[in-house]
Amino acid sequence: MPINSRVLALETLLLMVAAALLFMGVAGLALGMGAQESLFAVALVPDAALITLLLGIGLLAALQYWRRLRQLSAGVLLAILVYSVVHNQWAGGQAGSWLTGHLRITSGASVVLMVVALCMYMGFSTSRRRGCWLATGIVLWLFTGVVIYRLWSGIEVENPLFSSSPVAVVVFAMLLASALVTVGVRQQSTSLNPGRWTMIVALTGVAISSVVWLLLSMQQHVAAYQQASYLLDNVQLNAEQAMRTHLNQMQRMAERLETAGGDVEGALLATDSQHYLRDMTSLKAIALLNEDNHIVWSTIRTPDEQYWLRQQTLKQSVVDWLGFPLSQPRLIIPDENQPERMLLAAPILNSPQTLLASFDLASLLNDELRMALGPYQISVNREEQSLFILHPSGFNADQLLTPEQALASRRIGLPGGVSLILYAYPGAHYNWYLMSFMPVSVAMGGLLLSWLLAFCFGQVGMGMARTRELTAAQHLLAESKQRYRSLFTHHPDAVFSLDQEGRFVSANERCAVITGYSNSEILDQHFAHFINADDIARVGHYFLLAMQGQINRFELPLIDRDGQHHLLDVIALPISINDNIVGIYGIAQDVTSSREQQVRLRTLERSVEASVNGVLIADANLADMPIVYANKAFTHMTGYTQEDVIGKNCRFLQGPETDPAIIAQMRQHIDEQRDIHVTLCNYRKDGTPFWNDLYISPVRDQDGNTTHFVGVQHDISKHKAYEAQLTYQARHDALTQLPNRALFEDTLLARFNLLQQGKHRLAVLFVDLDDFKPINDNLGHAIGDRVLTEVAKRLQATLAPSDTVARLGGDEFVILHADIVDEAQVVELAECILSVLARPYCMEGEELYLTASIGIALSQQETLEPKTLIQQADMAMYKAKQQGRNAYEWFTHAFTDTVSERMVLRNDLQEAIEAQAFELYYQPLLNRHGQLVSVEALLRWQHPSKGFISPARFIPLAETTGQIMPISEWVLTRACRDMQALKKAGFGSVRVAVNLSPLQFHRTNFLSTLRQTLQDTALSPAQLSLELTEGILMNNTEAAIETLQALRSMQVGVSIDDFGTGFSSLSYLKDLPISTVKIDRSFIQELTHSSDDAAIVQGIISMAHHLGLQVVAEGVETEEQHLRLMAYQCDIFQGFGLAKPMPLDALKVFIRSLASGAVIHQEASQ
Amino acid sequence: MNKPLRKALCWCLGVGLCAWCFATLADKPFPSKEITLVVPFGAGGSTDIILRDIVLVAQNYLDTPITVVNIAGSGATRGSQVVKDAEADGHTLLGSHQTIDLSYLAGLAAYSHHAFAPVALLTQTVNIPATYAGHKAHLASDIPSLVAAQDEPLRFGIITSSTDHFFWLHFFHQTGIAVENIAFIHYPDTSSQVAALLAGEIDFAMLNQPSADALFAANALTPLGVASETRLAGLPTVPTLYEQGIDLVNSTDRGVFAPLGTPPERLVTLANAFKYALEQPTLARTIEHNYGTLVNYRPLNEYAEYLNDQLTLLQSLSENIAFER
Repeated sequence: MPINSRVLALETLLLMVAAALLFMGVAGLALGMGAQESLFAVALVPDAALITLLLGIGLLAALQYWRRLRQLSAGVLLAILVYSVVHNQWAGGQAGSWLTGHLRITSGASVVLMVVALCMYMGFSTSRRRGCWLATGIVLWLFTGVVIYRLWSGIEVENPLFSSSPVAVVVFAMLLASALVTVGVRQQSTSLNPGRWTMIVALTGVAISSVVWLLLSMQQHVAAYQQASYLLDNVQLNAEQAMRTHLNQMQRMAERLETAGGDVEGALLATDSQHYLRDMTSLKAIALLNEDNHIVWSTIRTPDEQYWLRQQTLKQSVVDWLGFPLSQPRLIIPDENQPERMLLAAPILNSPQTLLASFDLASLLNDELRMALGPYQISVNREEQSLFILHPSGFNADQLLTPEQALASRRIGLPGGVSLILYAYPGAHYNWYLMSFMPVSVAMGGLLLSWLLAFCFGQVGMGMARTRELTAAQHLLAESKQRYRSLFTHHPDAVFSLDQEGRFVSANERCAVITGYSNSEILDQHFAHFINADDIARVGHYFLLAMQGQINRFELPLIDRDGQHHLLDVIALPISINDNIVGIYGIAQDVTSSREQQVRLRTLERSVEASVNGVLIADANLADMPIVYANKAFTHMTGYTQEDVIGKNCRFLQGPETDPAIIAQMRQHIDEQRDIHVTLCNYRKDGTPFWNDLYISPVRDQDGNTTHFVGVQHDISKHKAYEAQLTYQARHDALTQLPNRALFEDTLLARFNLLQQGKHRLAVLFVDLDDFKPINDNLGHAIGDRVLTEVAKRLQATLAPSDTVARLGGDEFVILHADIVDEAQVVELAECILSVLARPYCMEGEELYLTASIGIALSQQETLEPKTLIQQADMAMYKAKQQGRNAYEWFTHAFTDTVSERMVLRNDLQEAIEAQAFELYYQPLLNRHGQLVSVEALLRWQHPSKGFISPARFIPLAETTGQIMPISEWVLTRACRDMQALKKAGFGSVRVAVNLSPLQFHRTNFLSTLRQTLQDTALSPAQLSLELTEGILMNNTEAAIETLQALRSMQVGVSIDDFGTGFSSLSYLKDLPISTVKIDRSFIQELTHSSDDAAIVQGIISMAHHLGLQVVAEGVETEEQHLRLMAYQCDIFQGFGLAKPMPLDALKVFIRSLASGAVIHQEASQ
Repeated sequence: MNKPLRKALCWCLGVGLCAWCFATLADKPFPSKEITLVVPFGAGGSTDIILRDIVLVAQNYLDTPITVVNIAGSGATRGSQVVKDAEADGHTLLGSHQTIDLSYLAGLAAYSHHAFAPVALLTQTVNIPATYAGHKAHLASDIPSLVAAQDEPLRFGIITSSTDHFFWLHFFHQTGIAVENIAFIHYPDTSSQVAALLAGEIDFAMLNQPSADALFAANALTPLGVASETRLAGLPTVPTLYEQGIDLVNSTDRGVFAPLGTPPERLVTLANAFKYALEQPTLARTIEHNYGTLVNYRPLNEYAEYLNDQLTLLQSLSENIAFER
C-alpha cells in the first residue's frame, strides 16, 4: 500500500477509471444489443462498448504489469479499429456492425482510439512512452472539450460525430483521457495496490455511480416517454372536446330545425351557418338533406366544397351511413384520398331530413388543439398519413419523422366515431442531449465522491497503518528499552555509564560486587576513585578516546575495597545521542579467574602441543567423528599435516596390516564411550607402517555427555623392534646367533610331535669341544668367542636345512637331526662333524686345533619326553669324553645313572643361581688371644629336595660348567653387604675373607667388577680379603702379580689358601704382594700325629714370618692342635674347634659373646 | 379517573351526540332539494339511457326531481370524482357500474367502490360484441381467425379502463388472441363507438341492447354473440358466446352510489325509491325487452357485498389478462 497521498490518489483514480471503462464496456455490450434511439441511448454502440471493454482490460493489464494481456488487448483493439476504418470507408457509413448489425463507430473516433491503442501496446516503461500517454491524454481531453461544446451549442444534434450517444462518448473520453494523463504523470513503477478497503470502496463507487447513471438515464428516458404519453392524453381529450363541441353545435342546429319543423328560414339556419363558417375555419359546408339524400339547402365556403359534398352524398356507403337509425350526430371520412375531409351527419328528430356538414379535420384539430407541447411535437395521422403536425409556434415542424421515432403513440376515437393515430415525437427545437447531462453529472459526481471516499479510506488505511507502525515502533522501543535494561541489569559483567566528566551515571549490581562499593557509593564518583594511581593516566586516555567516538578495549588491574586483586577486561564505547557524545558506556569483565584458566589452558595446550606423543581430538557429536585437532608430534609421527587430517576420521591411519580385531575392539569401546588402550599397526603418509601405542579416552561435558575423544598415540616401533630383538635373543645365542636351549627344545618338541605321526626318527647330537677351556684361559675370551663362532658356522654348514643346531652354553652345541631312517645317517653326520671341527682354526695368524666329543641320542618308541634326548645325548657325550675324546658315543641306558646325576645337579645348580638359593656362612678367624680377626665367607646350598649339598660337590661342577662365575659374584656381593650390615648394626668393621675361583680371578673385568661391588655395597676395601689358591697364581704369574698389586693398591687383602698343597715355587712368595698364607687343613689334621706335618707347619710359619706374612691355620678342630700351633707361633686360627661356620645372625651372637669376654680386634693387623 | 365514572361519561356523551343528530336531521326532511344523478359516461350510452328511464319513476317516489348529468371522460373517473367529493347528504348520487373498480384496478383512480356508499344495484345489462354490417365477421368466434388472417390489425373500440376494455381483454384471453395483434381505439364513450362502427372506423365494439338495439334491428350493426348464459329475449337469434365455444359471461351491473358518509336512513329512502321504480311493471318490461337488461335489485349492504365479491373476481381476472391502462 502506498504511503504517499499523491500516489494513493492517482492509483485510486486509475483503478476507478479502469473499472468504469470495464463497466461501460460490459453495460454497453449488454444494453447496446437492443436497438435504441441514439438521442436517448445511455450506452455506447456495441462496437464502441467492445472497444471500451478492451481498453479497460488493457489499462488494467498495463497498470498491473500483465504484459501479455496488455499487448493482446491492444492488438485486438487495433485490429478492430483498423477494420472499422476500412469498413467505414468501404461502406461509406457506420451502419451494419458485423457484431450486432447496429451502428459502428466513426472513422474519426477510430483514428483517435488507434493512438490510444498504440500507447497501450507500447506500455509506459520509459519516460518517453509515458510522455506519449500524457500527450494522448491531453489531446483526448481537448477533444472531449470540443464534444461538450458541440453538445452544448447543439451542433452535435444536427451533425453528430459519433454513432454512440455523445454523452456516453464524453464520459468515455474524459475517463480515458484522465487515465492516460495520470499514467503519464505517474512515476510509480509498481502495480496498483491502493489497499483493500480503498479498492472495495472505489469499485463499489464505480458500480454504484454507473448504476445510478444508468438508472437515472433510463428514468429520464421513461419520463420522456411518459410525458409524451401524457401529452397524447391531453391531445386526445382536447380533440374529443373539440369534436364534441362541433358535434353539439351541429346537433343544436339540427334541434333548431326540428323545433322549426324543418323550416330552414325559421330556424335561422342560413344565418347560423354563416356564423359557423365565420367562426369555424374547419367548417367547409353545411347542407340539409331530404329523405332522398338530396341537398335541399346548403351553405358552402367554396364552390369546390359543394361539389365535393355532392359527390360524397352520391356514394352508396355514405347513403347507407346516412340511413342508419341513429339519433346521435355522427361522423364519417368518406374519401380515403382526402382523409382530412370529414362529414358530420346530425339527424333531425321527427323529420326525414338530415343536417350534413363537411369539415376539414386537420384544420379543426389544428385550430382547436392549442396547448403547450414542451419539447415535443405531435403528429396527427389518419392511418399512415400525417394530417398535420402540432409543434410549438416559432419553430418549424420536423417533416421527416417516422413512427419508429415516436416516443408515444395512441389510437384514439373521437366523439362521432372518427379515429386517428397520434404520435409524440421529440421536438427538433429542443436539445435533448442536455437532458442526459443530469444523470451523467450525477454519475460523475458519484464517481468523484467515490474517488474521494476511496481516497479517504486509503488515507485512513495509511493512517492506521502508520499508527500501527508507530504503535509497533513504540512497543518495540519499550521492549528494546526493557531489553536494554535487562541487559544492563542482568549482565554478568559490570556495566556502567560515565558522564562527560567521567563520573558514574549508572552502574549495575555487578559493579558493586567487583569493587566492593555499594551502588550509591559508586554513582557520581569519578572513575579515578576506584582504580590504581598508576592506571589513572592510561584509563583517562582511553576515556578521552571513547569520548571522541572510538571504542577501546583494555585490561585494568583493580584492587577492590577488601584489597583483593582483580583483572578487568574493559570495553569503553561512546554514548552517542543525536550525533553528540554525552558519555561512555563501560563493560568490565572480571577476567581474573578466566585469565588464570587461560594460562592454565595455554600451558596444557602447549603441553599437548609439545608432547612427544601424538594427540588427536575428534568431535564425537559430528558425523563420522572428524578430527578437530592434531598436535605437532602427530604430524611428525605420521607425516600428515594438520590440514591433511582436520575434518577426517582417524581411519586413514589404518592399513592392510592393521588388526581388524583391534579395530573392532576400538569401535566397540568408542561406541560405549569407554577408555581403551591398544597397540596397532598404523601407516604414515608415505605408506610406511608404524606401531602405534594408542590411548583413547572420551571427553565429557558437565552433563556427562561425550563431546570429544582424545587419542594419545606413541610410536613404539623401536620398542617393538627391541622386543622382537629381545625375543630373538631370548631364543638365540648372542655370540653365534644359533638357537639357544629354549628354542631348541621348542623345535625338538615340534619335530618330535611330527615324528609321532610318521615312521621317521630323530637324533640329538650333543657336541662338546674338547679342551676348549684352556683356549679361553690362555688366549682370552675374545679368541675363544671367535672359535665358538667358527664352530657354529661349521656346524651349520654341515647340517641339512631341516636340521637344527643350537648352542647350549660354553662350548656345548646340540644338533637335532630329523627324518632319520637309518642310524647310519647319524653316524655319517657325527663323523662328518668330527672331521669338520677338527680342521684347524686360524686365529690371528695362528692355527688352533680342536676336537669335539659327540653324544648321540636316538628317539625310541618309548621316548616320552623329547627333552630327555638332550640329557641322553649329553650323557653320551660325557661318555665319549671319558673314552678319549674326538669321538662320538651312542647313548645307552647303561650309563644313565652317574651321568644323569651330574646332569641333574648342574641343572639344579643353574636353578639355584637364578633363584639365588645360596646362603653364606661365616667362620670366625681368631688370633692368638682368642680375638676375632676376621671371618671367612663359606658358601652353603640348601637343595630344596636333597637338603644340604657340600660345596666340595657342586663347586667343582660349577667350575667345569662355568657356573662358578655367577656364584662367585653373588658370594662377593653378599659378603660385602653382610659386613656392611654388621657395621650398621653396631658390630664394627668385621673383615671378611672371600674365596676366589681361578676363572673369576682371570677375568679381564675382575678388578672393575670388584670396584663396582665395593662401590655398590659401600664396604671399605680394607674389610675385604681375597683368598687364592696356589694354582691361580701359577698360571700367568705375571698377570696375577699385576692383579694382586692392583688389589693391594685398593687396600684389599690377599691370602694364599691351601698353602703347601700346590706345587709352586717358594720363590714367588717374595714377589707376590700378599699378606697372609693359610696352611692347608691337611697339615693341621695330622699335626699332632705326624712329625712331618708338624715340621712342615713349623717351616711354613717360620718362612712366612720371615717374609712378613701372617699365617692362618685352618681346620683347627682340637685343643691340642690349637695349643701346638700356638706353640709354633701361628698367628691366626680357624676351625671347628674354635668356631664353626655360622649364619650372619649367629655371627652377631658370636661377636656379642666375644665382646662380653674379650675386645674385638677392630683393626685387622696388616 | 375510575372506570365506572369514565364509562358513564362515555355513555352520556354518546347519548348526547345521538340526540343532537336526531334533532338536527329531524329538522331537515329528505330529500329537501333536487337530487343530481351523475352519469360518468356520455349521453346516449347504455348507462345513460337506462338510468334516465329509472330515475324518471324513482323521482315520483321521492316526490323530488332527479336530474341526470353526464360527466364523461378519463375512464369515468371525472364523474365519480365529483360525487365522491360532494356533500354526503343524499342529494348527489352516482350512477355507474363496475367501471369504478376497473378504473381503480387499472390505476386510473385511487379509489374503488369502497369510497362510496352503495345505494342499490339496479340492473344487469348483457354485453354484446358487435360489428358493422358487411363485415367478414358474423360471429364472435370468427374474430380469432380474422385477427390471424388480417395484415393490418383489426380495430377494437374501447373506453379506456372501462367494462368494454375489460371485456375485450377477457375475450382475447379466452380466445387466445394476442393483444399485440389487434389495435385498440380509445373512444370516450359507447355512443362514439356505435358511430365509429357505422362509419367503418372500427371493426368491433362491445355494445348492448340499450345502445344498439335499433341498429341491430336495422341491420346496421351485427351482434356477434351475447355474453350471457342464455340467449337474450330481444335477440333470440344471436347465440351466446358459450354457444360459440367461448367461455365468457359479461354484463354491466349498474347501480347507484352515494358519497360515503351519507346518512343510512337517507340511503334507505333512496334505495326504496329505486326499488319502487323497478317494481313498476312498465319500466321493468322496458328494461328487459328494449334494453336487453335484467332487473337485479340489491339494496345497500347486499349491494356492498355483491360489489366486494365482484371486486375480488375482477382482481383475479385482471391479473390474468394484464388489465391496465
